[in-house]
Amino acid sequence: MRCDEIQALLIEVADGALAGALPPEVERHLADCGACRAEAAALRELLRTVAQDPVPEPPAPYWAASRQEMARRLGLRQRAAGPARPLPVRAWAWAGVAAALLLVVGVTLLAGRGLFPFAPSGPTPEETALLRNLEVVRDLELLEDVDILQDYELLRTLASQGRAT
Amino acid sequence: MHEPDEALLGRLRAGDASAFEAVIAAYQRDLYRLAYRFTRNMEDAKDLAQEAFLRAYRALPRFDGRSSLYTWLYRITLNLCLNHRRGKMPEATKETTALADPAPGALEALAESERQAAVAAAIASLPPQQRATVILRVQQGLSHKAIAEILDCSEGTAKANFFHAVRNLRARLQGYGAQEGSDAVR
Ligand SMILES: [Zn+2]
Repeated sequence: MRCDEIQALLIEVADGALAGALPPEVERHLADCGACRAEAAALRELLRTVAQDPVPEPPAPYWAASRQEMARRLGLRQRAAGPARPLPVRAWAWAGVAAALLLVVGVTLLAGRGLFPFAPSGPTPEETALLRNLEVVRDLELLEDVDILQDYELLRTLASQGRAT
Repeated sequence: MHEPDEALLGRLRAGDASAFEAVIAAYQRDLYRLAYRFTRNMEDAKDLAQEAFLRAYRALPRFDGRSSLYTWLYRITLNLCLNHRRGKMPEATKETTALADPAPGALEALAESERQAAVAAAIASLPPQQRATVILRVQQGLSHKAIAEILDCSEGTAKANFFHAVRNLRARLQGYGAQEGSDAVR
């Protein structure tokens, strides 16, 4: 075989298209021809370098954030009922807000009654405002806005990374 | 391992909106890497990969299933990459140097990063089809059959493209990689 024929095969060899042992005639040629031997090594090295060219990765939270952005742009989140989520962190967060508001409402109501036992019945303007806030929280609770949860997870991941460094 | 393409396609066809998010989750890293290979720029690669998914979603009703889902996604991304024009040359040198591990053996690391920068520049200078073939075959690890599907050509053409690409790279990179003549044959 001629050198150019061998070298055409060497690209396939380096590519891995011909797995395992080289064809005997190629082996024979390489044993006798230093130029083709050097070429075989150079091709392997070239493809190794090409294969190992590094790609910088975005920080880990990017992928979920990117999925979230695309889903929003495509309107997937409104239509998706969504699979059952393991732990509704968002619900707990809102439950905390609701509990705090309830406490404020309760204390205000009690304080109001305590301080003004003969006040006319019915909520004061302050109490009305607080109760309205509570209703807003309750309504939010009913919304299936998973983005809030994901934002929370993203922030938590970023925060833990910040601590790690 | 992610959900098989067939299962994802079944869910997509059944109108399961969460299925497309599963498609994104399965391929977003691959498409980002592919786009980075072309642009050598993280932000451009992120944008292109996202744009590819958005286009794929809109084109979904026209996806006939003759090619596989991933080769179709690759094809969309590749088209975006080939049409993507930036006003400057690839930032190969800067980025690969920044990535080189400084220790241990800083000298070897530097030599390697210089070599990688030269290889990146050589790949960038190839004609589009050859460039795509090298990236898909060597860097993304796809089969010639899959590459043929992505580039919409025969497997023979894909192999020929690869052959010419390697030859061209070899010619453009004389002096790189030819140092070790010792372990020539296995
Ligand atoms: Zn020879």
